[in-house]
Amino acid sequence: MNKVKSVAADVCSCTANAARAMWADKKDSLICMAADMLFFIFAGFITSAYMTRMVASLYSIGALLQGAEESAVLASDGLFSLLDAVGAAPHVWRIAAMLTLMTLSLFALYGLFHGFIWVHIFKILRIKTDPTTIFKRFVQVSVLWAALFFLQRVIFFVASFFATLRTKDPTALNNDPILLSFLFIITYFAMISYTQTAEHSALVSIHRSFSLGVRRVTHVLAAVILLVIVFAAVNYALLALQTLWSTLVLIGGTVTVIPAMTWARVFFAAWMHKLKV
Amino acid sequence: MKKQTAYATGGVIALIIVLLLALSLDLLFPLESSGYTTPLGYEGPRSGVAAPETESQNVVLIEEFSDFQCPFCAQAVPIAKRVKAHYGDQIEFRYRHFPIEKIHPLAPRAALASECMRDQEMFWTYHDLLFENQARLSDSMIRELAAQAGAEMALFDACMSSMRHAVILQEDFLEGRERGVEGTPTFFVNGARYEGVVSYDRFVEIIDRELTRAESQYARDPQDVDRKEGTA
Repeated sequence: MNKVKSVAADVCSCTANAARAMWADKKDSLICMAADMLFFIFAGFITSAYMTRMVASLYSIGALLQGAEESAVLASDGLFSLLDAVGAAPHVWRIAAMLTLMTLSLFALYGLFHGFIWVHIFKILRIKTDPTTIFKRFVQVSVLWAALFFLQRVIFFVASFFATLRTKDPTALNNDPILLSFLFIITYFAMISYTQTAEHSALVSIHRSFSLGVRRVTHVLAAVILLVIVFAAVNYALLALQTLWSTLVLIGGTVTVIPAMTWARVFFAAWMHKLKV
Repeated sequence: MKKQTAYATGGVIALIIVLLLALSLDLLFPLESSGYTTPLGYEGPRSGVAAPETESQNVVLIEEFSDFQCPFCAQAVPIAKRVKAHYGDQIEFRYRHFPIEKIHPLAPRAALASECMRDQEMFWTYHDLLFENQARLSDSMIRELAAQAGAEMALFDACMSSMRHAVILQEDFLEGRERGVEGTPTFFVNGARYEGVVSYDRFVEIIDRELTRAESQYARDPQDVDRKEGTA
């Protein structure tokens, strides 16, 4: 019981310290917030540009399958042969090419903006680092997490495709618990690894993310739970705001979510620096 | 400091490349065009609220109950155009509105706009534009596409705000329900129902059968057929 109390007290003090550190370094805090906003704008633009075209191709495949002659379906040997028989193969290649380009573009954006943000997070925490080294390490560490995230998205995309064909419901797998858990685990270890890049190389940061994330799971989870509570509260507040005036959500979201994201990184980095493996 | 400048320059260049790539997607992955430009029918006003009977017994009537936001309906457009290009005046193609608002919130407004465009004898031009831009359809785009088609915008806006063609949508929808339409696209070829996207080969098979039937009927009783044509 005493241990729980002590962890809770530590979390509270770290929460306040993170807010104080941000207040003390307003310039870097504002830079992080601006970078977060720009990332959302650019990522949203790129995602919608690619997704619109990918969804159109996916619909075309569905329509070609629906309009296929029964004889073609019966004569085909497996899904790929069927897709070829009904003339859907170019759409499949088109989707694959666009998915690859979109992934590379989003990774480049993520590396650029978030690498830049983490450089400033360490500045807020007054951890002496070389910005280019942090940036390089951040991108290197992110390669692993991005690959795992991409794998999760591909599994989701393929599973959704088959689920849509089977159930005729495009949202059939949107809340699949296994795929969501996989996403949570990637985020958990990725967040820990980013906090380690100030003092360790990329490989060591990844290694430490696993050792800290597993061996000190109760301590790390205490911080994660606080972050979940904070973001859930912000989310519910925004939903409540939406019922009053939808335009307020955009303003409210910008003034709460963006600073909360910077605070969350400062808090989590400060918290992880207190932990030893 | 030199190293930081190099990183910053690299970052800006990468950002520009990523954005240029997204902006040039239409060039890299153009949306497939059907290649058939034949209009599916007469662009002008519809006579009466419900679709009239065909005027000649030798013309195969194809009615499509469709929804401007339905992706399968978009897929059916190039097939219908190919069929029209092949048969010409031997077939008459009619578009019937069956917007499913629950899953396609913009479909009723797009359908209403298409009827306003029919007033200006631009129904099929606008029909094609709506389907070509289906993935990006929005309230503002419904109007933009009307302008792009060359509509007199004052007339279009007046028509849209009066909602005077809402009755056509309602009539079509109710008639579709009565005739067993449950989803879009649903085709009726001389009254026989075909659900989903009908392939080109299947259309050819159905239309040829209907034309043969009409010819054999004419051969059996030409006077009866002529009488019916005279009264239409």
